[in-house]
Amino acid sequence: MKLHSRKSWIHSLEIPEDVAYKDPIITVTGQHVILIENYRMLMFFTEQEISVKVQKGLLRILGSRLYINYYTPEEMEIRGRIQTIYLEADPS
Amino acid sequence: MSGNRCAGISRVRIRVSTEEPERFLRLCRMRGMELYELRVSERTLYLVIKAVDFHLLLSVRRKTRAHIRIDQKLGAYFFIKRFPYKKTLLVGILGLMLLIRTAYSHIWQIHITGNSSLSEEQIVQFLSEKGIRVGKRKTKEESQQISLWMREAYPEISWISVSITWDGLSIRLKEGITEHREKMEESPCDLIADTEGEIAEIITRSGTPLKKTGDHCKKGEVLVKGAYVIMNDSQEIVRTEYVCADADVYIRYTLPYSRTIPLKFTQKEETGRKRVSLYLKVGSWYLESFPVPYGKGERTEETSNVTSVVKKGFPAVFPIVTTGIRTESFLTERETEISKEAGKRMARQELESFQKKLIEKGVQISANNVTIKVDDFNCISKGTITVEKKAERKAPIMIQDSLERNTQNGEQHY
Repeated sequence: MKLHSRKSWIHSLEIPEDVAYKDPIITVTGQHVILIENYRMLMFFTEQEISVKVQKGLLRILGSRLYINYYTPEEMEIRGRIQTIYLEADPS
Repeated sequence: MSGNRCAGISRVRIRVSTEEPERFLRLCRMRGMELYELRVSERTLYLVIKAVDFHLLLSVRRKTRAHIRIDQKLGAYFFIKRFPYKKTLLVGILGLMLLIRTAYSHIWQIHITGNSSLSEEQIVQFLSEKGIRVGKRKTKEESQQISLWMREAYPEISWISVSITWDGLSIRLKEGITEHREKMEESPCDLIADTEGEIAEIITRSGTPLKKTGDHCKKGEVLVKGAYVIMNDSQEIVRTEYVCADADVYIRYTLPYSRTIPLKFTQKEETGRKRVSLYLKVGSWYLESFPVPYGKGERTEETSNVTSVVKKGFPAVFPIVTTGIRTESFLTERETEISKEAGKRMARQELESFQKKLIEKGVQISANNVTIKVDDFNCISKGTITVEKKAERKAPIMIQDSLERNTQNGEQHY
């Protein structure tokens, strides 16, 4: 009931959902660039894997020669040869 | 990408050796730092940060027990810091800024587009007379004034736009049949003689002819009057109708022609000796790499301007600065003698070119009475050329004056 009322309130005010729920925005360009906005924290960083905690889940990027082109409090851009992208949702 | 995001900012390329690279990055993010080109290799981070953020790393370093090493310092701040002659550099930068400021505030080029009958030189000359020339300071008021001046001076301009560009003035204009000319054609006018001579032919379309074929006319004399006098049966003037005189009137006159070509003359020839030197010219100031002392015989110069090449690649900010290569060829004088036949040929060529010039001016040649005589020393061409020229000059009629004259005289004679 509480969730329903919040959803309807956001809908009636026409607030974008990514702003309202802090949902991540993941933009993939080809096989080499991935832009992540609204992320929470960087969990794991190697050349083969980068794990980023997002709202209600964990985003895992697997590949080779991965590096972060830029890393700011709002967004990060990952470059390299991307092979797999997982979005593991929290059990709750 | 990162290059674009932090371009122009002073930044440092660092390497961080730590057991907790992820924690190091999280702490950096918490402090609002922006990191670029982040790479990791065996617990060592390679990254670029802004120079101003470097002091924020101290607490992060302490917390993560990291070892930080600066690999490279990038950006203008570090470049200036490294530069040994800082004051000279500062003066140079300020001087350059001043020079650019001066260059931008003055007229270096005048671009003219859309002109067809008016030549570019004509317009530039006109502007120069008005004080608008290369090197003058740009003002907005003058650009507005220029359009007014141009409209007044050239009524054939139907539309003009003068704008200030970064390197000077841009004048865009359109030419057309002006209202003034149309009015002139509609308003009453007389056809008058441009030159003194004999009337070769007269065909009148409108107006009253005052001359007939074979008559002699003086310069400025009215040939066709732009008026019709209406008379009644008693031969009294009822009224006068004014029109713009229109007729084909050809005036025949003679032009004297006299030329002397000497058969023996002094000709200048190149000795073969040449000297090449580089030069730099700034306004009236001139600097040459190998200046040749003057007074050592005559010489000719061939100047190739390198600036014209520079202008193609770069905007001509300083067109008063020219550089180039100057080739000097030394000359000697030699006595030359030509044959009588060659002299005659040269005289004929000269006469033909004179006639060609006359035709280009719109004059018809009706007779050529030039004789070429050769003596031992000269080839003399002497005589007259008879030409026919169409009278095209029109003069407006002041109707009020004509009416007054009519009333005073009671009768008008044409």
